[in-house]
Amino acid sequence: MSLSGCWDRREPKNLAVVLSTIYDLKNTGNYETTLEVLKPGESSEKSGGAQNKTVLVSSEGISIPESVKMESVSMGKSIFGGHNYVRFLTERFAKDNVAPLMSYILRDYSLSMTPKLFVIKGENPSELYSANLGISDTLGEFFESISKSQPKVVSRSVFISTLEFIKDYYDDGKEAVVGLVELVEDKSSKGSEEKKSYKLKVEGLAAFKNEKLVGYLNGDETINYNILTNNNNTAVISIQSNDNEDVANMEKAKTSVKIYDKDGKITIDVNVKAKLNIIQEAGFADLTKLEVIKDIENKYNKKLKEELSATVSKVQKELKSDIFGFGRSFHIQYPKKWKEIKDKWNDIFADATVNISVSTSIKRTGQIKQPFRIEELA
Amino acid sequence: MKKPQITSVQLMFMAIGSALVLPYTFLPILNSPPANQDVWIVIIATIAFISLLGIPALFLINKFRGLTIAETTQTILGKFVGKIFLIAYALFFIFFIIDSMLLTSIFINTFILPLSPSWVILLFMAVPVSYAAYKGAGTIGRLAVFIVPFTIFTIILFLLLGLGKMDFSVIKPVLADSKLLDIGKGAFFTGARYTEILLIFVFAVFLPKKSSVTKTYVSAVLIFGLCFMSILLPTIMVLGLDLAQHAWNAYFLYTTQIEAYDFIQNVQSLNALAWFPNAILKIALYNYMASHVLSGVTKAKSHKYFVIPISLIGFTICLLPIVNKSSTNQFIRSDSFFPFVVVPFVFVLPLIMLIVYLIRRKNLKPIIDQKQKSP
Repeated sequence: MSLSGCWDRREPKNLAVVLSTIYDLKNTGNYETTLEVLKPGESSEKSGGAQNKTVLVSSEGISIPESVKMESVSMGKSIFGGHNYVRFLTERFAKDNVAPLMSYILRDYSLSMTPKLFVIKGENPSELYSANLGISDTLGEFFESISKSQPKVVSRSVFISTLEFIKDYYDDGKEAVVGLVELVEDKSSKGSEEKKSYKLKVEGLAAFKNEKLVGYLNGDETINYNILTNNNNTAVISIQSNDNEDVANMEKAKTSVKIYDKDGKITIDVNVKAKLNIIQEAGFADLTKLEVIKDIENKYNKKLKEELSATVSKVQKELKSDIFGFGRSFHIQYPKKWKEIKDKWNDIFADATVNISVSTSIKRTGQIKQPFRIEELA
Repeated sequence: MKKPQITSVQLMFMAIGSALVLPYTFLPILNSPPANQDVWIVIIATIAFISLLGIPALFLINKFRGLTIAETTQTILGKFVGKIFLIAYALFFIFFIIDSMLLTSIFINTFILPLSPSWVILLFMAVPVSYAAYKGAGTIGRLAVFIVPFTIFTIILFLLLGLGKMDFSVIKPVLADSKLLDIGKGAFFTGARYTEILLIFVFAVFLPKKSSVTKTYVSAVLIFGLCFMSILLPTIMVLGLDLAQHAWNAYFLYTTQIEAYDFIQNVQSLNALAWFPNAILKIALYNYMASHVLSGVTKAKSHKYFVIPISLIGFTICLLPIVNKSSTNQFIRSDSFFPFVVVPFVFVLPLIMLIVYLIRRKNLKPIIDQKQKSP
């Protein structure tokens, strides 16, 4: 172990500390890698801007490892990936084939399996680095921070590590997904007419089928994905009733799946149980009365059932990729049949009948007992 | 010469530490039949299989308490055949040393120190190994009590820290995809890698007479089984079965994923910290065993004459270009080679000795009594 001080020593001053990486496929067929590298000795106060803390380095190669190694040619430092928080895949790259990248990551000892994976929606991926990052100093730090904070507030995205992606890639009963990020105009920022300011929208997910990107789910659909895969930590759900909006915060939902195979016709029964906390009731409902609570629960059951069904239906019809992992349940319930059908499971999933039932239970109604609004004033 | 004394606890830790190097470094059980979610059941069958394989040797050890492996073998088989058996054992132990040194150097070169030359890594292994083996059984025993509990502690720690990331559905469906024959094959391939009964055979002579060899052996096998399970289950539950099967060192990969409470990160260094001394301990044990057997064959006054030459042989062979390759190591460790080398030495040769003993037991009894009484 003492050899780490000899041949394998790495002086910090000679390292290019990578915080995030973009993998892109060019029209020429070459791969382009862009690294966000920390500039040593630069503090945001001194340099006066977030972007000045890092430098961007891009290079091309006929393979991904070659394009990564080529970075050293212009940088004069060794690339260090130990602090890489996030790997971005461009749409072109993800639609082509991600397997070579995953093979490289698994084989190279210096590449970590913990960075989160995201697909960048849009034509100019490197513009990601010009986006307004709020109070974060670097893009890498922004994603590290949001991956911890967002799941505790809303479940509109997925934060999948490289290892989790590879794990799902190998799993016959579940297809992989990664997070989705796109640049949107930042209207709150004081950008000039010519030079618009952009911010990042980390919402939705990118669905894969085997090695390729096949489509996207938006933020609302991603909430449903998270519920169906038992990854939902919390979600805000609103329902309209009588011109009023009731808003509930969903606590961790519990989803169970049962599959029935009758003469080759597959029926998937999905049962979702969720606990809700009312965080807004803009009408005059008396939430102390059981029948009122029951009525609200029924509305949430109906709304959630419709939304979950719509999401599953979209995935079945448009993506034809079992990102929910129903195949795993099939394997557990019908192990013998699974061996015969696992290679065509995605097609079977696309044609399966999916029945969703939702049972919500309102647990808390907040810090007040009576409706906030006064009927006479309304 | 005064015999060194070791306690049964030291012997138990020697056997556990030596056996744990294999699952700790790589998990061949993942790719052995049935190679599916039932691998953890294979471990249970493996424990039974290891116990079965060890019966002939264990019987001989108990019958010939106080005698060295060389004395036991030559008493049963006669001097000529006995020496052939002992030389075969010595060569087997040297093969084990080479294999373990190779495995350790490739692992360090692949995962920890890729820029360090192989000869330096091997040298850094050969020196402490030679020192411990040279000093003898007492020193190795004390070393085992120092190193192995720490290794077991890291296994328990990684198990607890990984609980939050484990997906218990990975081990489902239970026993639905496996045939009994596959489980049996898996138990054979896994159990046939366990050679620690030979370690007990060599070191039992240093135990006080009142210590029970059988209890020591059974305890070592059971604790090893529990540790093996604690390595395997979290690995497959966190990595998934397929990724674990693809990884060269699945357990190390698992430990790289451990994160807890936002401040426990990169704790895989603990894995390396426990694994390397354990690997050194194993190589030192087998170096001592080879030296001890050779000293018995040649009637040399001490095993010490053989320690450094054996280390040099291991060092040199590991540096040969054809040997120092991941693919060579992969082949040596594969199910089609390794178990078939081990089983003759762990089971077949002791079984032959047992049969000969049972045939000649009346003639042998006075000789055994005389040898056991002599100081």
